[in-house]
Amino acid sequence: MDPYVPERILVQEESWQDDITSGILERLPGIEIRTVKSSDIRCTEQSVGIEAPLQDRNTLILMRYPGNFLKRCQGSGADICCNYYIVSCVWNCHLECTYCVLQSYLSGGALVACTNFDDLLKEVERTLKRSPQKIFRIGTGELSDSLALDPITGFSRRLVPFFAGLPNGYLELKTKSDCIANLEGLDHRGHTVVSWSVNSKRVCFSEEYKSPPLKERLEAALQCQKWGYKVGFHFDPIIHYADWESEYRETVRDIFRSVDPAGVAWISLGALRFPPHLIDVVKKRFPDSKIPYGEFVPGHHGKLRYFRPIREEIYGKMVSWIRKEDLQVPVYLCMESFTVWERCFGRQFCDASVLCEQLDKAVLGRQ
Amino acid sequence: MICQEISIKEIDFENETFRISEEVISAPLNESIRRIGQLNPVVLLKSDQSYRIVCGFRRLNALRQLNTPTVFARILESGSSGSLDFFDLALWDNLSHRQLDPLEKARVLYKLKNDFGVSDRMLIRIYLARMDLKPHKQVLRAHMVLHESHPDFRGHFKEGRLTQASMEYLSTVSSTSREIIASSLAKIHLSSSLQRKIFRLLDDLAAIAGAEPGKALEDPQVREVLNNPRLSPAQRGEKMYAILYRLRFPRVAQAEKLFMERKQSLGLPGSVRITPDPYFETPDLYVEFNAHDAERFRKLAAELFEASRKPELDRLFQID
Repeated sequence: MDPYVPERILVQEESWQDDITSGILERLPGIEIRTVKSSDIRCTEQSVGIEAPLQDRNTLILMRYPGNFLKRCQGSGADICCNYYIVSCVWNCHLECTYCVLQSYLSGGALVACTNFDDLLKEVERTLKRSPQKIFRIGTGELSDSLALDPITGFSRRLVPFFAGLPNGYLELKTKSDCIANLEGLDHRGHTVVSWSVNSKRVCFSEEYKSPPLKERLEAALQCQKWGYKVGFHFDPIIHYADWESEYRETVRDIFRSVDPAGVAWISLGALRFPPHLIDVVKKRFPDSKIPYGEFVPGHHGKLRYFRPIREEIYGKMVSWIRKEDLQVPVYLCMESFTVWERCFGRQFCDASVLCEQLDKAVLGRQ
Repeated sequence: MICQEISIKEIDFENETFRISEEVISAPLNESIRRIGQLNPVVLLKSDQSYRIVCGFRRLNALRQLNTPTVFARILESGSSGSLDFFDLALWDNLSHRQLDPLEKARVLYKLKNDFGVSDRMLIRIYLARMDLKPHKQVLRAHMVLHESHPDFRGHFKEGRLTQASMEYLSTVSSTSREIIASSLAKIHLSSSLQRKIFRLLDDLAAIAGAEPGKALEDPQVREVLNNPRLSPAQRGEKMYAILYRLRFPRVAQAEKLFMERKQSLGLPGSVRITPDPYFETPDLYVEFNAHDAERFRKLAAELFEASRKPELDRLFQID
């Protein structure tokens, strides 16, 4: 995977005081740096960045994030939710997957890294201490790839040991990258799951064209297992196309041939869904992509998604292929309806508390 | 101002440099001139051998049709101003007594840009506003597209059968597709929302098949509908949309068809409405009826009860 190297770095004036800033700048020598005023920074719930014309992926912004870092995953509105939390320290992504919702979700193209990392850690610690009996599964890969920028930010070297010290906190680093070098030698104490977004080889090649191929993602997963990390896999988004069955079947086989099944914390399945206006964005940005031409219908949450029988067919087959390889690994659906859960797993598993318990056990069980 | 009588034979009708009117034949104007003659002078530009028309294309055509030997004209000398000044004069003359239609506005902008070399910036700043258009580059672009579009599409547009957005879409397709779409459009009538939906379906089907957008219109089902003389143009449009929708969303369309068939097999009266969850996202059904008295209520409830005992009801919950 080509490393991310920005053409310019914009540093918010207050961020010069933060260690994170100097660390990042040391790792990116010879790049144009400009200081920007706080008033030039735009920061809302939906968008973090700076006004045009510097809003593109060649710009890296280092800034103090003034909002709450820790939020409930947007899946909390789904019929059956895994009760996941997200913590954001990087916004946007340079991998530019054709289907990526960040194209429309974050209005600007610049990558943003927060420099007030201590605030993030304090907020997480405070929240977890308030509910000591509750297990918090927290991921960083919602508004960016968890590790793609890690060679520059080094955030994983702070997060992993920090979570190791939290009795009820478990970190998930969700990535498509092979940027795992920083994870070596960290004292994670089983509190970090490194997971990969995986897909059929064809989709990896055509729609995730800046990400490493499947083989390299699985090699990185195996390496993490060797360092003692639990790993996870997310088939998300699953794309429905003519040869999807044989090609996704192959990916399932490749996973279980590449890593130790006992060290797999979970596998999630999520068929492609996206806000309606993203179709036009994808058509414009990636005219060769076939993604916009699936049989999509409007869903309950305003997003387009595959027609339910198509999703049920996808999930049913995926679950059967996974179960042929391993009977134990927790498999769950992301952002799916009660109806689909029931038809895929049976009524007894259609319970959010059962799902949460299963996933909590997955992180607790193998410490 | 010098006005004089000019022999109509000296006028160069072929030269349309300053023409703005989309139609140069006007029946009411012909009738008016036939009854009371020419009231106002036309404006002509003197050239070497003849006179070019600056203002009055429709009047002059009417006079020619009426075999009038001479016309009353104001004569301009070519050395007095540049060509753009004469075109401006023609434009102001038209704007002074009527609203230009969109095709005429498009013609004006196209000529200003291509025949008189006016820059986009000037067109946007000065001419768009002059013709009551928003001074924006998109508006200019849209009018350029309009002027350059297929003659059939221009005709449909003028008749209000194609929207500006549709004209823009049609300007992006290949000439082969344009021909196919033009011949299809001649047989149907589409609302503006249906135009948008159909062109989107054509685009999607083309991308799926790796073909031209017009290809889907060669589908035998579509051809059959288009050539069905018993259907009105609006009915053909609706049916064509339904076929294209089925081609684009085969599983959804199949589920909708199954649902209708199974619903009908319950044998319920039309006043009992059974609708599925939108796009069958859940198996839920919504049952609704209205009754104006207790007797009617009992009758419908009994029919529902009867339907509930039929095995077909189970199949209504199994659409996938």
